[in-house]
Amino acid sequence: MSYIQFSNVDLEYPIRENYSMTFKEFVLRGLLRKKKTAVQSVKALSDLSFDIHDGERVGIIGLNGAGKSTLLRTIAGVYPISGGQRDVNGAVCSLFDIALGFDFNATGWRNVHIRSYLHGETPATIQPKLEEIADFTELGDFLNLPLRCYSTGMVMRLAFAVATSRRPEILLIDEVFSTGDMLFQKKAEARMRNLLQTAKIVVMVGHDLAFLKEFCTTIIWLHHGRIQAVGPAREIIQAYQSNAAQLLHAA
Amino acid sequence: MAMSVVDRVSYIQQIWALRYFWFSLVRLDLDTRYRHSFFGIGWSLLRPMAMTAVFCVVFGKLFNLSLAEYAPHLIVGMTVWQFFTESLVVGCNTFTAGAAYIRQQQIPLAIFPLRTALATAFHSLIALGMAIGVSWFFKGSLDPVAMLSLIPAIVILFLLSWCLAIVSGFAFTHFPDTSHLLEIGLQVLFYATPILYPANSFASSRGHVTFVLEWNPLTSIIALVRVPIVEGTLPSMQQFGMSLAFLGVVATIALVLLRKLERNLVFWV
Repeated sequence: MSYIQFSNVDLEYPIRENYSMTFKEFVLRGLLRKKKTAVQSVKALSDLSFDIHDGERVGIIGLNGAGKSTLLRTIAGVYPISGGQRDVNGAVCSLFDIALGFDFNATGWRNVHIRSYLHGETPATIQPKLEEIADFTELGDFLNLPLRCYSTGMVMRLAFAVATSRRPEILLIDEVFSTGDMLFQKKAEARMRNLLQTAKIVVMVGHDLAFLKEFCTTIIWLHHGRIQAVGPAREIIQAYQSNAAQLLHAA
Repeated sequence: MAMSVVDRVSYIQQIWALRYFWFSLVRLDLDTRYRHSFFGIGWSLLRPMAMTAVFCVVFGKLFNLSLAEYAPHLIVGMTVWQFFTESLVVGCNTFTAGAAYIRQQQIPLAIFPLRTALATAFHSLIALGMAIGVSWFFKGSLDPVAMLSLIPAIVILFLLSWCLAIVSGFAFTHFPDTSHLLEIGLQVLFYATPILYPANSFASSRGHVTFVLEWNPLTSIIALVRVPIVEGTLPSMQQFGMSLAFLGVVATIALVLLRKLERNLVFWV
């Protein structure tokens, strides 16, 4: 039984004036007993409450900066919450930044191994998957070469193949995945659909409303880090679209 | 927010569950360091060798010590010092190097300093092997019982390295100046530690220098490795005690930092 339960979840994001405080600043502020104003915080999510259960397909919509990706990362446990209660039960697989963290001096195979180990695989569990991953990438002997010899497309294929080789209970997908080249490639699309069907819970961020309307059972509409509306996909998307139309009209 | 025993055990279990991950990162680090260079593992040996040779010529004369006496003393000291500094310096980048992974899923952050400590330990063990070889060459024999005491010494050094990398990693992500401060601090510390000169060189003159050397924890830590190899005796209980106390202090700082800052680190890397 997998579920995601959020009750009154807040998330504050520390942002510094400069990228980070210098030691001089730290000492001076300490000596002068100034308040540490160098660290400001932005409330990225506030008072979010929702329950997601087995079988649900949830879409997160909202304007840019509404907190969609932040919410996804909070569900994944990457971001710590600053208030409320977050309860997630089930093996989570997150498909965001999938191409980040590859080592370009290591071979394709090596990267496949490292990435799989990060997902909690062991040499024994990874063995049966290797062939399937290699087949999907169609990279052949390139897998024996360092990643720096690959084209961008080849790296993406490798990243996609590894990321989607898991069978998670909870699948979290950022918008890069719901649009763009990936789904247009027949093979990737089939693999993705298969993954979407086998996961017990899917939460995805997207701007492709037609796709979300077709695929999702529930929609969470975020606005400035708060839930504007949550409910059945058709209803919410309609409300969102008419709201957007009004904004356009007013502008 | 006190961490319960259960939390601590589960934290260690999480680290263990990801063992293949951090172990393959360590292998990757070693490969990039060795496989792509002409001398390969030789570089780990060449550096302390070259330093020792230079210092032997200069300071051996200055301190009026014979090569057979001075070379083993120096090379063992340099090896331990190298291990200590590398843990701190490489430790600075430990979390930034793992940023891509940290932003993707929740993982116990202590694995990144562990990666640094393991890779550093690997180079240092090779260098230590050579240092033992050099000592054996000049002294003609090694005391087997004393050599066994190197095992607990290496364990202490390894744990120390892990904790130091945690501390410098957190310090660097919050204050990038750390790396510059460290450079200066280590330079001062190098001369305040009996690496070049014997620990008892200033024994006759009572004063600040003796005080610093006596209370510098590195004096004891270096002695843990140097005494069994060079003098062929067991390190004193005081030296073991002092080293363990230092490890305890650094480990406490590391644990406090982990507890307080670990969850929010994702915002800083």
